[in-house]
Amino acid sequence: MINYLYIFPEIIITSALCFIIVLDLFLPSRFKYISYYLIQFSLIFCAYYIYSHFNYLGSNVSELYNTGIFSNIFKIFILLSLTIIFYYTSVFLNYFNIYKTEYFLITIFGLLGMMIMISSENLLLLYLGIELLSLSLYSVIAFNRNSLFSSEAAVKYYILGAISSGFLLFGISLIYGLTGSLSFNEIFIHIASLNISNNIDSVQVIGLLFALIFILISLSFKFGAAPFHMWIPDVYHGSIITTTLLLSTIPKIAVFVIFIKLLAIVFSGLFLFWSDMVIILAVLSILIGNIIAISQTNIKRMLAYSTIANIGFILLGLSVGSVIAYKAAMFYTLTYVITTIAVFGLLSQLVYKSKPVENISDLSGLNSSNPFLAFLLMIILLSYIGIPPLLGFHAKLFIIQSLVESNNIPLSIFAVLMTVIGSFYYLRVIKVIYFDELKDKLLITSKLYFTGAYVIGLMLLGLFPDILGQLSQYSISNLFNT
Amino acid sequence: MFDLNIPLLSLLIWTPLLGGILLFFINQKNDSLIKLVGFTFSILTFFISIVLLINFDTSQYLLQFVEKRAWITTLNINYHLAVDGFSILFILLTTTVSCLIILFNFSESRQQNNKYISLFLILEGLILGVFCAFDSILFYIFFEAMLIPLFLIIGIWGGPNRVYATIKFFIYTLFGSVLMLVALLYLSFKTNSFYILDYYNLNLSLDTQILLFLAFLIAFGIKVPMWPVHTWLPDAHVEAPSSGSVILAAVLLKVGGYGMIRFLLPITPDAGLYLNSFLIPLSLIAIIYISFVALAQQDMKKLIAYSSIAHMGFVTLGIFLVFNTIGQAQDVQDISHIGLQGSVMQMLSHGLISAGLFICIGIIYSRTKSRMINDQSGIGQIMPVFSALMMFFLLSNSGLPGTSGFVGEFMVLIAAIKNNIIYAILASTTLVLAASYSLWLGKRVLFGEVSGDIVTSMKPLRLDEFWPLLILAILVILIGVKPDILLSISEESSLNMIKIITSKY
Repeated sequence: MINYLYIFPEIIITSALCFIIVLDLFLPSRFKYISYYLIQFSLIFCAYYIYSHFNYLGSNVSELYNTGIFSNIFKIFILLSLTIIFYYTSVFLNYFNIYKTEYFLITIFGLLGMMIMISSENLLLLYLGIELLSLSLYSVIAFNRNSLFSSEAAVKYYILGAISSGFLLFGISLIYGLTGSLSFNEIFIHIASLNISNNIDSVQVIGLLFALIFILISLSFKFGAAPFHMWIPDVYHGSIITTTLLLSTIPKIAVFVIFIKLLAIVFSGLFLFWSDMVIILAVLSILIGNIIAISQTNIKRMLAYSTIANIGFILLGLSVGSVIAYKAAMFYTLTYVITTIAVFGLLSQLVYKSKPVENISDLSGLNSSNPFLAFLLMIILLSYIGIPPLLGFHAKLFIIQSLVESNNIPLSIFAVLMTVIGSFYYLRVIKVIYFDELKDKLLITSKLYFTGAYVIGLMLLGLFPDILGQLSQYSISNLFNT
Repeated sequence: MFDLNIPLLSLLIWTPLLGGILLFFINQKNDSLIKLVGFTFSILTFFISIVLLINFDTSQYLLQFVEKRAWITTLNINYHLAVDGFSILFILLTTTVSCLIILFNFSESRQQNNKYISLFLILEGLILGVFCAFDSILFYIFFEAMLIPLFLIIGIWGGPNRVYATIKFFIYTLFGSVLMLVALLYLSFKTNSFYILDYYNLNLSLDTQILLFLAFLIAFGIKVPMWPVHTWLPDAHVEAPSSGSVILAAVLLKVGGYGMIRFLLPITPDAGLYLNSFLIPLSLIAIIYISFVALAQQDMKKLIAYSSIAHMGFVTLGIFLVFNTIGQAQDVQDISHIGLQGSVMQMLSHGLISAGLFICIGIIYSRTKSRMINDQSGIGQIMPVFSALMMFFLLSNSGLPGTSGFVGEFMVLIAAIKNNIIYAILASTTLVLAASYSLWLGKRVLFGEVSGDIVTSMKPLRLDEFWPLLILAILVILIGVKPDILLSISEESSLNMIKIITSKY
């Protein structure tokens, strides 16, 4: 007997989606904002529904679709992030007269995919979620069809995404062949029964490892970890800035959840093997991200490489394999997403010579034309560097602390040194904003009240890191209790 | 006694921070309001520090005015403030110098003055935080957050080459401090606590100690700065606005020395003993070689910057000499106590003297728009009062007995003689060298023929320039004549520090 009440949040989203698609067809263009507000309302309502039925949803014991506390926290986080992203998107699209409700609707499909990913307890369901997300992202990237870059980015992402899906499916089929099941729980039990340490050479273990590598490669593609990062700079660069905002934030949360579920729980028996793989991914990502970012002149490309470096830090946390480290990784992910929303949201509000901001030099002398904006941007960038007492510092602190605690001193020294190297390219942006001469005055597309409040919230979160810290602790401990 | 329920230390830290935040919202055109707010908050902070001093019990080494609140509960990091004999001296130095700088700041007009003063107040609050924090992560947070205000002060209001200087400053110091973060986390992992005094009881193997020592040495050595990681300092000084140089030399460098006393000495004494034959030469090079470098400078600010490095060499010498006495007889340990006290003294005195000198150079620069020694001479004939004060600071910079510059150097030299006469001989060359570069600077700039129109047209000293200099001069003499005022405050803490170090052996 299936209890549909457990998937009521997804049902809300789906029905809102169906309703708004039809409604939007009949709205004259000057009333299109109605569908925008409906979308925002349904997102917030869905988040509220999950929040108010937290414990009820958590009582679900389905082996296919997990709506436990861990998933719910992430779902609420994604829904709220998406409302903020939609706010920036609508402002941006309206200003440049390319507003289309379809943009939001397609993204909602992706949202549905992410919710499925977060809740799935089955490899096939996971695959469906990932595909739903990817397909919606392909079309969102191609949204700006007049731009050659945009189409190039979409095609590139599509091809690489298809390859990575192939990898994932291959890995899944291997797992199915070896364990006879697609359910997370059964795979876990099967691996636990293998007695890995005595049977390292057995066909079963080697086969599982083979499958694990394929799945890991595919997920790294989605996550954007080096050496599978090639698509990130081009796609970030090619798509309009609000799409970049979308791409660089919430899909990472969903992929992070998959990462932590697969590695920390399903394949926890294979920790010995995947730990090293994840360390390699992490080290490469941090190196490539931080070093190549130095030479970028386009701010979106620079932030793309900074994303890669940040992903590296998250993976570094995951590679440790202790509960504290998972907590740190989750903290880092939340921090990364919050900060990235702030930076891209703020940049999306800037207009340089009646075009969105593209190059770092476009920002020069921002302090003399708009000191408040310059201050906000500086705070965000300093948080990226990890200057205390901003949020980014605590994120890095937790990761490094978990590394030290697992006695991995060399890796922690590597991490802090890369932070110093990474600080250079953020500092360069601050230098352009504060120390350079004003070239052309930047316009802003809307008032900065929301962004200002958001960044001040970011600063407060940095002063009281316990808020996010407790949240991470709560969700991770719930993940391991179930 | 004051009612201890008042969180005096929080008040001390947050008053200037609050003032700084407030100033951001004041219209930058409203100069008198900016002055009023800036000065009120710095005076207020100064008074809080005086209250702190009055209530400070000098007869014991235990931490006082302890404040402890849970902050990051998931890691057991606390908002833990306290002071001991060392910190209270540095707190006083910071509040005094900050007050005077803010007074001096008003003598120049500049763009966005509200932000300028605001950054100074924020910087003051953060530096006070460093001296009060007894939770290692809280210490680190203040330690690193200090970078941002100075980064902006140099970068926005600095000279022509400011971007290079400020980014160099930022990356240099960030590089130093991140390694310290790993060291702090390692120590907290070993002790299961972030409380700094818990680290003192650790028994670490020599190899571990050496690694920790190096991490701390890089962090604080860059801050001090020690040779050969000093190169950021002359650049930063030359490009910084005058008051930025003042706070950099007078207070910021002292954070490095304070950190050495707080972390290097008690946590890793064995490593210090082991590495000392390498460390003391570094200090001696700073004293001798950098003094020669100072002699060759054409730029007044650079000259004083190099002289700062040389004087800080004395500080590190006094601190490192303490390691040498580990395991020695009691009377030798008493000597190292004198050396340690001398280091603290030297830091305080250098804070006051360098503040005075940088203010003097700022005054000259604001009139002639040049810092080159050759561009000006004979200022003494045009500005006699100013020249007398500047000459006074130059003399105290060369360690004239009766000024505070003498006391610290003398005490460190006593410790050096007892340890190794060679060290003492080498270190005492500074008495000649410092006198040479200081007095030669005075001779070239203040005395001699009036060099031309730019000097003859110099305006006389204004009151807001005169008072900071006079107060600093009075303090320098006061400490020089009666150093016991300050020495007695840190006496017990210093003795206790020596005890901790030697008991571990």
